[in-house]
Amino acid sequence: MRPDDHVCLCFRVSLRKLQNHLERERPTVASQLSECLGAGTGCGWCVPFLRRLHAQHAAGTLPALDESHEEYARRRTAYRAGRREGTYDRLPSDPMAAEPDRSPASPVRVPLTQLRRGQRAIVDCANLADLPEGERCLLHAMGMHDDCQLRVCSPGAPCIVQIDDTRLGISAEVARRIMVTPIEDGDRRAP
Amino acid sequence: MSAGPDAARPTPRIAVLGNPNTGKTTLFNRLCGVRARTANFPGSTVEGRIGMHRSPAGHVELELVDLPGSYSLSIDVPEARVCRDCLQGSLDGVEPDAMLVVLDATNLRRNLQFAAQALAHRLPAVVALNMWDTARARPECVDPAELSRRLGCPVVPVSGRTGEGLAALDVALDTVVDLPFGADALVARLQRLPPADATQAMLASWADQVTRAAAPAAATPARDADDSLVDRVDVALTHPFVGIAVFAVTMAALFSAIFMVASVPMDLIDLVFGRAAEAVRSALPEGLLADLLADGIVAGIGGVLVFLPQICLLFFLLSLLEDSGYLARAAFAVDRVMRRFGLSGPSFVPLLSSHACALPGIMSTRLIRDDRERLATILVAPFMSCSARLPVYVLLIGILSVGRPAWFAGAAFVACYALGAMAGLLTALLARRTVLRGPARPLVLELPPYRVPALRNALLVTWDRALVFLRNAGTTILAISVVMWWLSAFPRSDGPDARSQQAGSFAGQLGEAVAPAFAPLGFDSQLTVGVLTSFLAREVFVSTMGVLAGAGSDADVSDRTVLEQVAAMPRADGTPVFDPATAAAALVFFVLAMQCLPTLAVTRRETGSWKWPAIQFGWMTLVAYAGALVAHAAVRAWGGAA
Repeated sequence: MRPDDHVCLCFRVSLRKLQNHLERERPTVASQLSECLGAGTGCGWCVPFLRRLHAQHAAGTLPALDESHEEYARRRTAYRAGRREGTYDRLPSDPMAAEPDRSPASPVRVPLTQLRRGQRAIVDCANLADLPEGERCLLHAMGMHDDCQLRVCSPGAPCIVQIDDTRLGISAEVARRIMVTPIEDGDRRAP
Repeated sequence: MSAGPDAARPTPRIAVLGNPNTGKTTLFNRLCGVRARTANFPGSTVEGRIGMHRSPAGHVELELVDLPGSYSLSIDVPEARVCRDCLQGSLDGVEPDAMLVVLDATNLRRNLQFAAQALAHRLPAVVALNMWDTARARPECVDPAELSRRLGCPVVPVSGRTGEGLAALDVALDTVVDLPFGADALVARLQRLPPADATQAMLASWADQVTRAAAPAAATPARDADDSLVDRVDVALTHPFVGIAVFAVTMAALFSAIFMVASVPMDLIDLVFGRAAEAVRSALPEGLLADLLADGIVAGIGGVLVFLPQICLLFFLLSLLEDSGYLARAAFAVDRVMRRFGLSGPSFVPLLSSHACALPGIMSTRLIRDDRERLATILVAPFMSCSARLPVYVLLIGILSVGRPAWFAGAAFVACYALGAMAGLLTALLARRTVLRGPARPLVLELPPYRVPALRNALLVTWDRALVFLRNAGTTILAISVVMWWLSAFPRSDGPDARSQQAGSFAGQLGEAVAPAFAPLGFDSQLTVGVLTSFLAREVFVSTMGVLAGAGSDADVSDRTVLEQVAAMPRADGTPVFDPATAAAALVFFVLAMQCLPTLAVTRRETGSWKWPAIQFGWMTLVAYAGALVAHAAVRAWGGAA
């Protein structure tokens, strides 16, 4: 892949921008790369690649991707098509791709910022680990914990969600980290 | 229950605690009314209220301590720390005998998690199920008896807004303070609850279980009835453009209301104290004592009280806005703008209030959770053009706009406000990149439901704030007035008029000594005296210049002759003091300079060290001096070219 090719195709973030961001900000965890123009917060396809870039940078080598950009883009299209049908396309061979939550069996997870107004979803807080401790605990105490159900009142980033009877305003950087599994109407949590 | 008031026994103390937005303070106000005072908890900047309550039916007088609302007892924020310390009895002077846990009955699942953490402490407890009037109407309403069985303590449904259920609460409180410590009931309660060190996940699953048992209908999906309308309103009020426009209009209305309505009582207070000073003068023989009483003390007290109407109105209207649920949305809407300057949504209201007066602005920074962000907000609050600058603006812009088109004065006013706000925001940005470096704290904010604000509550908040203001700032402003008077009254001169007294006094001598420093700005020694006296309180500038211009000490801006006299004041060499360049330089200086001793005192109190007021003073003076220098040079160059 060439430096001007986009790694995150959703938000058009080029490899060069990511390289510069890594050099300049030296993020401690890979998910902080989302602060580089929102990379990885769209369809989620590039997340394993972002992790690889971060790992390369941490190991002291110049972050680069061997895949040809054409192949990369083609497989992303296939991944997105598969996701629409509810089957999870297997991500390319990548050391990080072996995580449990990326297995084919796991349901479709998207960042909170992708939901529509009125849509309901089940929360997965795993990606919140790199938030400041205080903020994470506060979110938990406000009712945002694993497997809780939320409803989107105002979509996007920042967004407003409702959990039980609590409405929470969530700023962009937090909302992008909250992964959710959308549920269709009529498929709500059983009593 | 005890048979009657027992003088030997100390008043039982009850800690009142709960999640934010549970109506805890409304309930507290219901119980205590004006028999409450605001206090700082030892060793923290967290404020709470302490009030006395005697139930109409009960015999026991109770002391209620309103602890700050907190989402959890285990998180590391000041509010949670204060609650924790209080329940553990390690908060000096506020060791409670029992606790009153206030829960929002309409949002039980989340509130129960907090309740479990609170009830795990070894104190007798009563649980108040607040907002009962709303909850009762819902199908998923909780059964108080079942909840009481599960929690192992009395559960009383109440409504702080309507007053419903208060009699039952009184009975429960009277009974609970008589419960001997370590009673069986207490032990049984502790066994039923999750352990004191339970994780949030354990608490959540416990709360789920209890909710399911006590309110079977609550486990079914939430209602969608009117949510869609609320959603639409929320979307609009937090929209990047619409939301900020609505906010701008609301705030413009708020501040015009404050300026317009407050001007009547302010003028009245001015008048009354003016008369009082005259009365003192005529009643006492001429001399030092009369001077001290009239110019120092009466004028000083008047100087305090004159700010009171604005402060009361500000807190009254803000309290109404906060109660309505709008303020949280506004903070959320402006968050993205503030973030560019290293601040966040919650900093906006303090900065806005500072346009009336920096004192309440700095006092209200307690809403900001992040310490560094709070310091940055305190640091820049005095840059906002407060109402005390207004008389100075009127004077100097009046001088500047002589012989210019009518729009000039209006544009100059707007420019002054914009210059102050920009300087403040850029300073915040600079501070957040240097001395107060740190990540902008991500904002997670509860947006409480929209409600009709409770008037009674707003009035009590206002009453409370007014007392705090009078107690804290009042003493400082009074002290300054006396010092000011002393500096300009000593050493006594035998000169016939006020002007020679002013020139020969310590203040005058100081002006002479410091004049060279202000010479590059085009200030002469008279103007320097004016600027120096205004370092204590900037509105003093107008009366000082009036005195120097020989117009007498009770100069008023609306008095044209005084304005004209000041405008035409000659320098020692006969040229006017205020040429356009000097007036512009003085104006810029007043926009940017830190000339308010009470603000420095409040900054010291709120930050707990002299370091921040020192930085604030040094930086603002530096910026003001540089700005004035640039303005002086620019106007001179422009005037030379024209």
